[in-house]
Amino acid sequence: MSGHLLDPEWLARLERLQLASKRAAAGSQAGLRRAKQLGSSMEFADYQSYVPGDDLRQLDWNAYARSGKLFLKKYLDETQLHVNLYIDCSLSMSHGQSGKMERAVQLAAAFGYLSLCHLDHVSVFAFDKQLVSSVRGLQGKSQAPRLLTFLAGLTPGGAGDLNQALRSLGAVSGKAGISIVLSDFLFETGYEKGIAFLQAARQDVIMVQVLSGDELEPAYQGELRLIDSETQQAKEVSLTSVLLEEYRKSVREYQQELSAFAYGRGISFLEVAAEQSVESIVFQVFRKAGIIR
Amino acid sequence: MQWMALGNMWFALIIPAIVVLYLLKRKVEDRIVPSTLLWQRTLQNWEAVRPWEKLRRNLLLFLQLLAAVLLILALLRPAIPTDGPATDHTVLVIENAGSMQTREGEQTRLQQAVAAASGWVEKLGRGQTVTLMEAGREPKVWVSKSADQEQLLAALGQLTPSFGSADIGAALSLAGAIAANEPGSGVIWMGDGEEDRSASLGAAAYPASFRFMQMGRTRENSAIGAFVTQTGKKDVEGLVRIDNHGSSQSTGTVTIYDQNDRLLDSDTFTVEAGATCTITWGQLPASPVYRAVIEPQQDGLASDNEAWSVPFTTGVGRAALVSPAGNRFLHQALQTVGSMEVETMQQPPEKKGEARDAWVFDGVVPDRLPKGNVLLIAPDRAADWLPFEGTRELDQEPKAVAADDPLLRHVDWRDVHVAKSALLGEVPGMKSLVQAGATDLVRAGTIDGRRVVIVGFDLHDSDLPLRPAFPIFMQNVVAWLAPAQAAPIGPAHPGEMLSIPLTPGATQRVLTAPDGQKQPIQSSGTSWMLEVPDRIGLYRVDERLDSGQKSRFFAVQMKEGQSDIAPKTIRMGTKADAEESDGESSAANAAGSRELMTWLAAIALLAMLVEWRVYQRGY
Repeated sequence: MSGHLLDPEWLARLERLQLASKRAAAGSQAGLRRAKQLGSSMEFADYQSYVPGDDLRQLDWNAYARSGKLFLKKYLDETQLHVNLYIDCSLSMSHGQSGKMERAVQLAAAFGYLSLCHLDHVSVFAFDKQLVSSVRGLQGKSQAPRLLTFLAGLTPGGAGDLNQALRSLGAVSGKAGISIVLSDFLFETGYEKGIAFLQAARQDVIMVQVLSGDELEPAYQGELRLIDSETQQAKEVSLTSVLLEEYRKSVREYQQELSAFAYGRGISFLEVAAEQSVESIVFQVFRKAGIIR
Repeated sequence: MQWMALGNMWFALIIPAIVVLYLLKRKVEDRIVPSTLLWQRTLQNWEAVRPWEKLRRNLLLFLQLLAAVLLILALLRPAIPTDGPATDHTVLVIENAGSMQTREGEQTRLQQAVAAASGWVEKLGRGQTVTLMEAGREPKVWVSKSADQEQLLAALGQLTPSFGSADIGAALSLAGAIAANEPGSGVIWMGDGEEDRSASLGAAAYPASFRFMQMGRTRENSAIGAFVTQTGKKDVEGLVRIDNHGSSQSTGTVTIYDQNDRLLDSDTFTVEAGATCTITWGQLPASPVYRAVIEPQQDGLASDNEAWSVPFTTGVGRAALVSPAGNRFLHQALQTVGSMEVETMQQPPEKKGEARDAWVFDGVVPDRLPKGNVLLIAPDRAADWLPFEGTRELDQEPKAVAADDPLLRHVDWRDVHVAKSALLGEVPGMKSLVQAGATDLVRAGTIDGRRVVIVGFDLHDSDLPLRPAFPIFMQNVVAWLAPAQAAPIGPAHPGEMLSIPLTPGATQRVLTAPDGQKQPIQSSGTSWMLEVPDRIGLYRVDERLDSGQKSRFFAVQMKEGQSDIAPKTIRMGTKADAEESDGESSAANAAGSRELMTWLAAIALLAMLVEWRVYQRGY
């Protein structure tokens, strides 16, 4: 999965995009304010080995003259963004043919990659009912393989609980930034507290709900006992067209609830179908929604 | 509205069955889904926690119930009264048996049937025809496929009461055959069903639609089952058996009259339902015939309340023994065996017209047969009526070839030996009873209306007179040759063939019917076959003899089975019909009606089609 997590052909296109969040805007405004006191705002941070694809303008030619090696001169930038990616790894994300999990991971890779390209700090957290694994503080394009390797290694786990997972130790970084939650948001215990907790940690939250076609438009018929993949709870239904209509109504209502919750808290909420290609999600859905520009 | 097959009501159980199917928890298939969160929201109203769920408004359920109700209605075969026959061609069968003379209020059942049939005929529509049949002793077609109402009504008016039994099977078969030849035919049967059941006639495959219209409801009837009298030493003893065919106790009086309708004795009787009782009289004054009459309090059929009895008397017959050589054995046997006054002659009588009950010729062959029955022993010459072919020595033992003949009853031929016997040619009407090898020893039969027995051998050429077989054989022969003395005539039932033995030598014979009608008897022989008229009562045979007038009586009575007047049903058609319970629905059938079954079944089918469509569309 690691090699093909993202198609190399459009990685280049991805580089030209950047996350457009309110935090990012605030950062750039802060940069403008710091421009009045030139030099003080830019603080030397580190030298970094050049990798093909890095911005040539940032090459330290003096260092090259001295050592004959290409180094990038890195500055600690106040406008640097902390991007936190939360991936739902509960069983409900993996079940079925649609591959919600795969789609969520690809989206995370896309977000992470374009953030790395802009020298943002990228942290990725995988959770089900608790934090399962994480990789933190990635920065620079050179960290892209790490990011992708981490993402490729994610496997679906047990039952999901967003509220509990986000409140576990180390799930939220102390620094303000953007938090993107990729999940189906089908949690028995709800999602409100967890998202509110993220917001309280000065995070600009983006909720991306990934649902499969099966969930939006069930294709099965007849007398069924529907078993929850996470909780093993069973529901008996006689699937008639009347009931299917009811179900579609329920789905719409739930998405409206999520959307209303998000709107009320100034959160961006996006619905994504797992069957859609990553390219179309990124270039059309996210761009249209103004999350990426 | 009538229900022609109320017995199918059990099918209504399908309604609770359908409802239960909807109440029962469904059998489900397991399917794992990512999350049931969204389903939970949807299922709040649909969730089934208990095995029973609340009956929801469901279009399919209502359609199924509708189809079931329609099917039940169709099975009950509702019919609405119509004004006339429903078929284009109707075979109208009117049953005419003794039980149809039962009174139902003002009318007899037969009159009811005729009235119903007349009403039917009057309502004939344009293009509708009727074949009128009477189911009597033999089925009779009165009018064939006619639309002429006057002709049909006239034929109905000609139906006369019958006291015999009806051949239901033949009438059903004929009506079915007539109906089968004509498309759109139906058979309507008006009657009380008889005791004969149609189930044995292969009813399921009846070729036409069949409707049975029950005539009558009464079942209470008492009848004289038997009335016999016997001459004792001084008086006459009588016995009456009274049968109660009804369902409640029957009481009444029984009275005995003599020939001149003089009351001899009277008694009362009480018979439980379905039982019989016997009343006897020990000292009835002498009379040639007696009449017993019962008067029950409740009685449907009057014709079986009267019975006649002719006392069993053994009269003395006259026999002539012609034996030129004399025959002690024969003379002794004839004297011994019975009621015969034996006159001995040396030669056959010259004078014509001399009559005896029986003539016995021993070693003599008369030129022509005398008046009366004949026993011929050891013929020695041919005559016009006897093809004599000589004699033959016998070396084989006699053997009875017709052992079941009444003449050979209890006669043992095993130790009998015969030295020689006459050889006779074929005589029409005679059959061989005993043979030795190929030679006939004893023949019996009818020649020229007379009963004749020929014994081919001389008794002296045989040890037969020394055997026990001899007196028995002679007794049988005399009893057969002189039946007029041995047993009374009858009793007989209407429509039967009755053999009436005649006294030889009578110059004039007349049969007098109960209503006084006289009918001369044209028969030169010693018996006369009479087809018993369809009229019950006491018949008299008068014979004018040289010695004066001789009268004998016989009674024609209804068959015992006809006294059971309880209405029964004839069913034709489907098996379901046959399973239906008796009686109830049939009385209602008297009116014409049109069944709605086909329409209901069609609507039920439509409902099922709609249901199928609804199921497919998943409403």
